[in-house]
Amino acid sequence: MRASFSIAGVLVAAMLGAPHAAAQTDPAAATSGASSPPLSWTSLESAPLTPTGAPPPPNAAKKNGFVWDNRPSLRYGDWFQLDLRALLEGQVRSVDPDVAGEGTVFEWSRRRMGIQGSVTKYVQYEVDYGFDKANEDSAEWRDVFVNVRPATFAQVQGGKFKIPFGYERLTGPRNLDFVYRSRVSDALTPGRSIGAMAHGRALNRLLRYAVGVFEDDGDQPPEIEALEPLPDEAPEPGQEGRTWAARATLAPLRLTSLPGKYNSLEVGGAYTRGTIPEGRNHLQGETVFGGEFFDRQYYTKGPRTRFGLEASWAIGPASLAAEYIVSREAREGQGVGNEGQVDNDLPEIEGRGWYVAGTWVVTGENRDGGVSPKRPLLQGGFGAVEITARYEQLRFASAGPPDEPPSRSPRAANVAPNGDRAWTVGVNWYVNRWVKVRFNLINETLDDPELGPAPGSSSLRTMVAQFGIGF
Amino acid sequence: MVSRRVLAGAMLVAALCADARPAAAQTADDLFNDQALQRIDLWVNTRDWHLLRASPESGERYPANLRWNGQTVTNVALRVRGTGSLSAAKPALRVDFDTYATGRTFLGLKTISLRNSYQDPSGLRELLTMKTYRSMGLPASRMAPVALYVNNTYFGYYIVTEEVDEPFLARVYGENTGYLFEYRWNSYYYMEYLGSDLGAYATIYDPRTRETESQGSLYVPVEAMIRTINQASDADFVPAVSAYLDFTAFMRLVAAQAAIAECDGLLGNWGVNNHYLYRMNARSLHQFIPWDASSSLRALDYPLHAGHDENVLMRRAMAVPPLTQIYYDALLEAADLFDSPDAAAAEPSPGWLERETTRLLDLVRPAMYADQVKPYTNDEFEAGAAEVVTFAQFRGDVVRWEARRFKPGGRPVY
Repeated sequence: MRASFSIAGVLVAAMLGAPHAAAQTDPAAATSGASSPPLSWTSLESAPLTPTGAPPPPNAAKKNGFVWDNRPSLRYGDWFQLDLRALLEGQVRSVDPDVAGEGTVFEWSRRRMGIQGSVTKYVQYEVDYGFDKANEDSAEWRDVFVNVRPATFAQVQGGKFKIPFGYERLTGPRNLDFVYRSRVSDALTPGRSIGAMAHGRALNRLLRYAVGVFEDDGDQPPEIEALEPLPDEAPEPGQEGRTWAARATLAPLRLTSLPGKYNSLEVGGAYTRGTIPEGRNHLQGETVFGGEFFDRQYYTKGPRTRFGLEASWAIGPASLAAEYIVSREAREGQGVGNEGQVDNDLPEIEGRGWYVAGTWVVTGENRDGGVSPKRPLLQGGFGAVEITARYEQLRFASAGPPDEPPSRSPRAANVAPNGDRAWTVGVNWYVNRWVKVRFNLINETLDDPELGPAPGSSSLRTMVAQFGIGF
Repeated sequence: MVSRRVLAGAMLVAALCADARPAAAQTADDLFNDQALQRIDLWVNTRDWHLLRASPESGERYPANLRWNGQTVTNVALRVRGTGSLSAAKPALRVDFDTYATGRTFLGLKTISLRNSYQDPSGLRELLTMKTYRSMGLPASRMAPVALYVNNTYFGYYIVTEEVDEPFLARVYGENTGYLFEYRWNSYYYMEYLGSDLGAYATIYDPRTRETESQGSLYVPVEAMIRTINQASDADFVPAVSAYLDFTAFMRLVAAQAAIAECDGLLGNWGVNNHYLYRMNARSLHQFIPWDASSSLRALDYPLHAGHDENVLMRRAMAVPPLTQIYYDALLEAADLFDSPDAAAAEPSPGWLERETTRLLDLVRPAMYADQVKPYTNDEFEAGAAEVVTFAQFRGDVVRWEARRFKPGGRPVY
């Protein structure tokens, strides 16, 4: 912990004291984020940074060997590039009611280091290692993949990376507008897995697509708790089956004559399908601070599907984003039975949610491609300030027979439903291109407080301030 | 053997069909109506049913659906219960209606037990014992014989039993907000004072209501009752103990247990056993409630004073003439109940206990014969039933003769 504080202190001092020129060495990235494609679909956190594979800025392109281009980098012409990446985020949080009895707590929310770069213009790579949650016991490899790009419209990526599903899930932590992702993103998107994916963009970025197959259903759902086989039963592997995923987005305003800063509207949809072994449900509802409001107490088995719709639009200093996601888990043979069938199938458990979010940079910077302050702190200005707001809803239920009362039984046809509605208001302060401070006030309301972390209290309020530094 | 099973199955179906009634106007009294062999269906996931039987001691709950007389209750919780009756092959079951839906009841019941008659080859003893208690106005669970089906297949003969819980207390005492404890047999215990450490009482009395209250709230009055039973002077015994115990109810209950030859009850061969203790809300008065009577109706000559000397409470109570009078009066009341004739019969008829025994035997027999998981043979069932019939025929005379001989001022009647 002390080492982390020390590292943070050194990073802050270095970043705040960095010469203004250093922040301006990448004018292309600062002003043309909209035209800077990310390294990959699943690594949007690199979006505001110099994208691998894109032509390097003039100053950096001319240099070989070690260069500072917003981050430490090693370059040899167009043949090789290696950028060092790091991210450190800590937060102070207070929850009311204080269910855990913790009071105001500080915790590291993300501690990561990694590299990314390219070998020729046809191959890009990324390796990312670290902690991504408070109180994680050990660091882990996060993104480890290679992308081969023979053509913009036909790329192949392999390794461990995010399954292409969910706009906010695919947005890297540096570019999130809020301290926490929405409840629906947290609960219903798959996250990372090992797999292979074909992807690309076509028609002058009018269309982007990704289709992939992965060894499991991602690292976001809780881990499998496979049941032991009965003596007369063939053992099951206890692992998830492969997950197929597809995502496509359209940027329809690119067909119009609107200026580039207004035509970034993207609408899209995504779908995944995987298989889960017999065990407890993975659709789990948690409040912002991790209190369970829809528990893992129901038996599931069979296909797990997700369907998502998304829209995002950066309009000058403002932005809008919205998502709608449905995830269903089958319960094949998990019923108690009836007169006609032993171990009958139960209706799927369904998680369904959406959010609408908006932001406005009051200091006037453009949103598209990430906010880069025109006048950083200690370099003639105060940085950039942005106000944010989000409303969201997430609900879990099953479509059992109407005459059967809802129940917490692990084999209930009608599971006891619950939902969480939350609004968030916040302020983001972009101190400079490396340092970002977020402050969020979140109010959550549970449909059934008795199933929540604070029975009898339907409303939960969270205040959180997050400090982040990264390059 | 096969033809015998087929015959038993046919008899079982006939018994169930003969007693089939419309689904209207159902109450808990209908469920516990022992004039018919009830049919209860359970549906349990195959995996859960296997696990339940594989580890009966685990106490794990499993979801199930239950149907009785056309009514289906979804999402009940099953778990194995019992100690001496613990069985993997034929588990005794507890069915909770409110585990997965707080406050839910079925026919006003929160819980029922499906007792497996594991220690009683006749399958009759508990039915007859509890019926005797109830007929004498004592607090006792209602029961009825049951053909239990699991996953659409006949499983075995059971006895559906009213659990001693809040609905039971409300029915019997008119209130249910007090402190209910279930006695846990650990070793031979005869109501001796266990000292001032409340933990000693917590080891023998498990709270079944107000479980989350402090040990002081739960056990201070229990400790005080047992201390008073042991330490009150002879002169002060009745008024002092009466503050904690309903003496009349206690004396009548132990008399009924002696009459029915309950050798594993409050004064049984293994010390105090098989009961609940209930303390009325905001009062210090306690009541004993009998439970698990599978060891009764065995010895025709079971002594009426069994356990009196060992048990402190009974030994001291029998030294008090008014309490002795209550005891013998209750014994004679039981004897008269056993032998009471059928008022509707034109000719002399067998006594009440014998009539009830033979009637219930006719109901139980087809279910027992078709039961492939019972831990005894059909011959053993018939032998056990014959023993009960003999007991029912003659126990009234034995009790009456003995009670009159020992009753203060009394003498035997020949």
